[in-house]
Amino acid sequence: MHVSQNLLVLVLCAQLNVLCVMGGLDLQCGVIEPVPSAVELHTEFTATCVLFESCIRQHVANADDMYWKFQQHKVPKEQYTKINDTAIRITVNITDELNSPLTCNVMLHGQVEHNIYGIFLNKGFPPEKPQNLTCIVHQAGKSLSDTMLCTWNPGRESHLDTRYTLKAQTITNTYENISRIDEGELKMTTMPVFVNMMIWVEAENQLGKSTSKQSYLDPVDVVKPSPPEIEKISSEKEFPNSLVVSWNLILNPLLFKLKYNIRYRSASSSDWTEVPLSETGSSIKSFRLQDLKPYTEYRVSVRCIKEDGFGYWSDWSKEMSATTPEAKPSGKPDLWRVIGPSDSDKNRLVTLMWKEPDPSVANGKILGYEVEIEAGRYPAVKRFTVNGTSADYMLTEGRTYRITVAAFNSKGQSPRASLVIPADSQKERPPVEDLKAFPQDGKLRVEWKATPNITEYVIEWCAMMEEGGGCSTESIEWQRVSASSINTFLKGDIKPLKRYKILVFPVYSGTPGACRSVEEYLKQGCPTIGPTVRTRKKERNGALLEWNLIPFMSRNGFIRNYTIFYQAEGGVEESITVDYANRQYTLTSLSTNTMYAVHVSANTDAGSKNGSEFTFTTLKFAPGEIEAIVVPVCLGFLFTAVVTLLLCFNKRDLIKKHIWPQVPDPGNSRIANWSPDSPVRHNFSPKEQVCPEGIITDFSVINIENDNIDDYNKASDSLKKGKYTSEEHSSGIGGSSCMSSPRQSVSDSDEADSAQTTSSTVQYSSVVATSYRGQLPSAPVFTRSESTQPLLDCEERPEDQHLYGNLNGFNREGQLQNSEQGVRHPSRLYFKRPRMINEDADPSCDSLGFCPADEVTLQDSAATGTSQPDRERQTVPRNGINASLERNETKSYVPQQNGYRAQ
Amino acid sequence: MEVIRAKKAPIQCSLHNPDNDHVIRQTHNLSKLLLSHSQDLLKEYLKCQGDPFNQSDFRPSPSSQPDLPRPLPEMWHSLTDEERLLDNFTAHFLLSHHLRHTQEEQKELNPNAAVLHALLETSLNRTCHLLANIRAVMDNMGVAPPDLDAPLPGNITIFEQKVKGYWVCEGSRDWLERTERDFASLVDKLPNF
Repeated sequence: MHVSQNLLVLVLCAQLNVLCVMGGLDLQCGVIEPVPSAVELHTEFTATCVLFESCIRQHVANADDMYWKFQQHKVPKEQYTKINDTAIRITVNITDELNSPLTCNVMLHGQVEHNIYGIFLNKGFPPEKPQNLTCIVHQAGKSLSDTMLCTWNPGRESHLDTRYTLKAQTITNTYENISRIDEGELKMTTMPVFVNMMIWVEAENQLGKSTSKQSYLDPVDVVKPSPPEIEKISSEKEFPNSLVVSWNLILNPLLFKLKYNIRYRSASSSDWTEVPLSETGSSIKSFRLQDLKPYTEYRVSVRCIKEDGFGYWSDWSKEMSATTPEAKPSGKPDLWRVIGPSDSDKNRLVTLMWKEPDPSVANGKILGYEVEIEAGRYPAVKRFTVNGTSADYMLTEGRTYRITVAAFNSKGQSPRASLVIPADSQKERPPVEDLKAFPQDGKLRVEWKATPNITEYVIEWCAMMEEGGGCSTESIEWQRVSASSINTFLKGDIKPLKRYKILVFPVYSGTPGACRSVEEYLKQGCPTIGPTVRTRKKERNGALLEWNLIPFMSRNGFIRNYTIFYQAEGGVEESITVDYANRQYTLTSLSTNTMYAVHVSANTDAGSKNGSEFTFTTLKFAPGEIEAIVVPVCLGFLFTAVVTLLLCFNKRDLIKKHIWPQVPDPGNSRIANWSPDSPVRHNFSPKEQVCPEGIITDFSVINIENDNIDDYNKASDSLKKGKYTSEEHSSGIGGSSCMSSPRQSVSDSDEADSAQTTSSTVQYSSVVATSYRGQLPSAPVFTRSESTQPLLDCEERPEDQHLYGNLNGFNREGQLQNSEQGVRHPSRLYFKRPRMINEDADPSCDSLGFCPADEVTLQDSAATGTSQPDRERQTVPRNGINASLERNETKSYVPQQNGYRAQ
Repeated sequence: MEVIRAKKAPIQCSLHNPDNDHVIRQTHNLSKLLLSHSQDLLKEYLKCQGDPFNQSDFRPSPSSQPDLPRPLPEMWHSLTDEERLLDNFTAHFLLSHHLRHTQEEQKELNPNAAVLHALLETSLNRTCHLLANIRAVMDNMGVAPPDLDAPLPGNITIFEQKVKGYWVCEGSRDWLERTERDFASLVDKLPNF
C-alpha cells in the first residue's frame, strides 16, 4: 500500500513539477493538496498538508509537529490551522513577495526537521481581453498581399505563459494563427476582398482565457498601398511658376481607386507644402503644381490611399527634383558702398558693392549688373555693365552722386537699387545713438536708439585684424534693417574669438548718414599666449615690471586687466591685478637680495592666460648706496693724503735732515774757493744754490746704452748736415729714459732747442758699477767720483758739442752763453741709472760692462758747456774708470760743486 | 512555426449581417474584379491547352457545354431582383464546383502552368466569396436560396476535360458579366452616400 502510494506521489511530482522531498524519511510521509499549475496574484490560496498514517506510526508524529514554510521562512502557527491530527491547512494571499516553494514539514524527535511535501506556486494573472485590434493588408504588385497583419494591446502582463491566437472568419473560410503577444498575421490563399471578415484574438494561459472584441472588416478597407512611382516632372518655358508631376498606377483599379496626396518643397528648404486633397482627384495620373518660384529646384513626393479614405496612406514616394523655368529678376540687388579718403585732388575712391539678388528673387541665372552713376549737376549718366558684385569709381570733389544698380538674367532686368553719395563738403546727417553690441543666443546682437526721419539702417561689420584697424572692402559684410527696428542680429558667419567692428549707418532717403561703430566678440576666450614679463628696473625692495602687449589676433577677447603673480623663493605666491591700460607695474615691499619668480596673466571676460615665468633677484644695495659710502671714504683718504703731503712739504727740511745725512760739499771747500774758476761760480743764480751752505749737492745717475750711443751718433751725423735737429735724450725728470728710442724733432726754434738740451744737462754725475769682476750686481750702485783729475774726451769733436745744448749756460770755452737761459733752465743735478753695456755692441766699453761715458761726458760737458751725454759715453778711457771703480767700492759720495774747470 | 489553418465553411453559414447596401456594393465591386479575372483566366486557359484551343477561331461544339444555366441577357430586363439573385446564386454555385473540377484536372493536365493555376485558384476563391455575398444579399432581402446539388466530375476524356474547362471559364466570364450588370442595377437603386 505504501509503495504504491509513494510511486503515485513520485509520478505526480514529475508531472506537476512539485517538490517531493522525503526529508530523510524512508517513505512518502504526506502530501499537499491541491497542487495548482498556477495561482492568481492578489487572490487567496488554500493548501492542506496531510500526514500519512504510516508516517504517524513510524515517527510518532502528528499535526502538532507539522508546519508550513515558504522557501526558508517558517509560517507562524497562528497563520495556519490544524484540521485534525494528521492535517494542517494554510490560506495565504498570493503576492509577488511570496517565495516558492511552499513546503510542509514535520519536526521529529530530536528536533530533526523533515520536509513532507512541497509545491511551486506559478503566480500570475489570467490574460486580459486584447484591445484595439487593428489589421493591415499591404499591396503586392497589382493586387494585394495574401497576408493580413494585425496588432492589438494585450493589456496587463500576465506573468505566465500566455498563448495568443489570431482568428478570422469569412462566410466561406476560417483562419487562425498562433501569434506573438501583441501582433500576428494571417496568411490566406487569396486575400478575400469585398467580403466581410470577422477578426478576433484569443488569449489563454493556465489561469484562464479571454477573447477580444470581434472586429468586422473588409480587407480591402485596410489596405496600405505601395507608394506611387513618380514617372517624371516636366516644366514649360511659358510657365515659370508651375511644374507637371506624373506618376504610374500600379494597383489594379478594379480593386479600388486611389486618391493622392502631393507635397513639394524647394531644394533649399526642408519645409514641405502639401497640395490640398480636394485638388488631387482620384485616379489621376498627373498634377500641375502652381504658384511656384521661377528658376527654383523643387522636390516632389506623392502618396496615396483608397479613394474613400479607408485603409492607410502609403509611404511617400521617392522624391524627384525639377527646376522651374527662369523669369525676370523680381528683387533688386542690395547695394552698399565704401568711400575712401580724399586724395591730393580731393577726389574720393568709392567702392560700390552689392549682393547678388537672393535666388528667391533672382528668378534665374544672373548674367551681370548694370551700374548707372549720375553726378548731381551733370545730366549725362555714366552707365556700364559689371559681371562681378563690386566696382570702383572715383568721385569728383564737390559733387553729389546717385548710383543705381540692376541685375539682369536671360529674361530681363531687375528693379534698380539706388544709393546717394553726398559731396564730401556736405554735412553728414547725424548717426545713431547709444549703439551697443553683445552676444545673445549664439549670435551677435546690435542695438541702438531709434533715429528719427530715416528710411532704414545699414549694419556693416568685419572681423578686425589689428587693434584700431578698419575694414577692408573684401572683408566687409552688411545687412539692412527696417527703420522701425532698433536692434538686429548679425546675419552671417560670425565666428567666436574674433573681434568684430560693427558700424551702423542711418539711411535718410537713400543717403547714408554718419556712422557709429562698436567692437564686440561673439564669444571671448582665453588669450592664446600670455604676456612676457621682464624687469625694467630692479631695486633693493622693489622692481619695475614691464610686459609686452599680446598680439591682437592672439587676444581672443578684450583684455580687461592683467594679474601679476610673484613669489619669493620659498615664499607664498601673491598677486596684483592692474588695469588693462597698464603694461608696467612696480612691485614694492620686496625682500632685499631675494629671488622672485613672476609671471603675468592677461584676463579677458572668458578667462586668463599666464605668460612665461621670469625670475629676478632684488638688489643687495640700493642704487647710489655704494657711492654714498665709497665717495666720502675716498675723499677722506684723499684729504688725509693731501694734508700729509702739505705737512711733509712744509717740514721737508726737517725730513731731509732725517733722511739724508749732511754731506760736506766740496764746492764749499777751501780748495774750491781757492779755485781760479770761483768768479764764474758766482754767476750762478741764487736759485740754483739749493743748498746755500753747500751741504747737499744735486746729483744724477745716467744710464748709458749702446744703442743710444749709436743713435746718438746717427743724430749727430744728421745734425752735421746743417739741419737743426734736437734729439731728446732726456735722462732727467720729465725726460724719456735712455731705454726709449730717441725721439727726433725738428725745430727752428732756438729756445726749444735750448729747453730740450737743458733737460739733459748733466752737471755732476758719478759712474755706476754694474758688476764686479764680470758679475752683475743685484742693485745699481751709485758711486760719486772724488777724483779731481780731468776726464778725457775721447772721439769728441768740439764743433759738435754745441748741438746738444749747453749745460748750465756754459759753452766749451767755459763762457756763459746766456744768463737768462741759465735762470730759466737751472742746471739740475740728478742721478741717472747706469746701464750695462754689451761689449760686443760697444767696443769702447771694458769687459766688465762698465761704461764711464756718463761721467766722462758730464765732466766734458761741464767743461764744454754742452750736453752730449750719449756721445760722450763712448769716450771714457778704461783706465780712469777702473781706477774710479776701485776707489769707489765703498759707495761713498763726494759732493761736488756745479761746474768744472776745463782741463 | 506558425500554423495557418483554413477550413471550408458551409456556404449556408450565416455571418453577421452588416448593412445590406454595403454588401450589395461589395458584391458589385467583387463581380467587376472577378470579371477581369475571368477574362484573364479564359485567355490563359486557352493558351495552356495547346492546339486547337490556342487558335483564335477556336470554338468547340455547344453540345459539350456543362450543365450550367444560361445568362440570358436578352431576358434580363424582364427579371426581378429576386430572380436575378437566384439565377446568380445558382450559376455561381455550379460554376464554383465546375471550377474546382477544372482546377484539379488542370493540375494533372498542365502541372507547370503556374499562372493558370494561380488564376484558377483566385477565381475559385473569389467565386466562393461572390457566392457568399449573393447569399448574404438574398438573406437580407428575404430571398430563400434554392436547394441545389453539387455537380460531380464526369468520367470523360482529357480532351473533353479541356473542352469542359473551356466552357467553365467562358461561362464564368459570361455569368460574371451578368452578375456585374445585376448588381450594378441594385447599386443604382441604393441611396447615394
